[in-house]
Amino acid sequence: MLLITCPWCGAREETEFRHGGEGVRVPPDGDDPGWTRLLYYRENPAGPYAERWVHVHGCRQWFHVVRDTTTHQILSTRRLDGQEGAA
Amino acid sequence: MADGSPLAAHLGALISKASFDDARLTPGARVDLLSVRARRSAVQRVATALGQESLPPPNACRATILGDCFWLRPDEWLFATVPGGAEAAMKTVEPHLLDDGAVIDVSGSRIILELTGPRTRDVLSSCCPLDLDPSVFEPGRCAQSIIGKVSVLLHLVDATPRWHLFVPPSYVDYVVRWLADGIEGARAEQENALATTPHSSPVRMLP
Repeated sequence: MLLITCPWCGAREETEFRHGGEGVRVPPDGDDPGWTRLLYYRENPAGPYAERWVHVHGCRQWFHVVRDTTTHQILSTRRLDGQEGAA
Repeated sequence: MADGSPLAAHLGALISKASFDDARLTPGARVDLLSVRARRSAVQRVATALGQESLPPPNACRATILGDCFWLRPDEWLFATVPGGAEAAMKTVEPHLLDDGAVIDVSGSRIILELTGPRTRDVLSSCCPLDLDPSVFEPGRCAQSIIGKVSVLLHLVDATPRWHLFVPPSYVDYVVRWLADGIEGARAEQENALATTPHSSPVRMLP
């Protein structure tokens, strides 16, 4: 069980969240290989991985998470607008 | 159960069978519910109109002239106002939102269950992943979490502890069964403790 720190609600158990896949992805200007890469390719690193999660049973906000895929340690979480903690 | 109770008769029997002095589940007061969504500028106007410095911060509940106000998410608050008071409350809030928000009558979207007694933290811990330790979860706090698999809004009203659980009506049956099971467990644990602990021999720790 992961303990994930929601930027708004604080530390909550994984069951309150949904995983939203890889984060910080930039859409290409328009060429097909670029879109193919965006839609179907994932980094899948062994180590820190930038992801998005949503606190679906809590405040329903999406946020950034950096998770180590080998240890499942949550390295950091932050709001989508980049600001610190709960405003 | 009284007529018009949100809890069907079969649940009433289940609850009264499970409840004991240290953990009691009852239907909570009926309320009208308002969802207020507002951008930052409108939030301040609404708060001022209600005589508050600000609307509650994340995971907090505050009493206002429109009843208890709960933080739901960065741009949404829930007001629990008196039965039949939704329309008047909407008229109070709406003029201050201008084009920066919306107020919606969501009465009936949730039913309140009240859970009281010193063992209720154990009862809730059996079905809810929140950290409910008194040092972390103080009276006046609220939190959205899950009971079993259902989203609920928990509010710690006072230090009895007295909890209000805001549950979607269609899931009340499910949530009550989880809670009744937890209460049953707490009661069995207490009865076992009473049966096995002699009354006059406090445990001594050897140095």
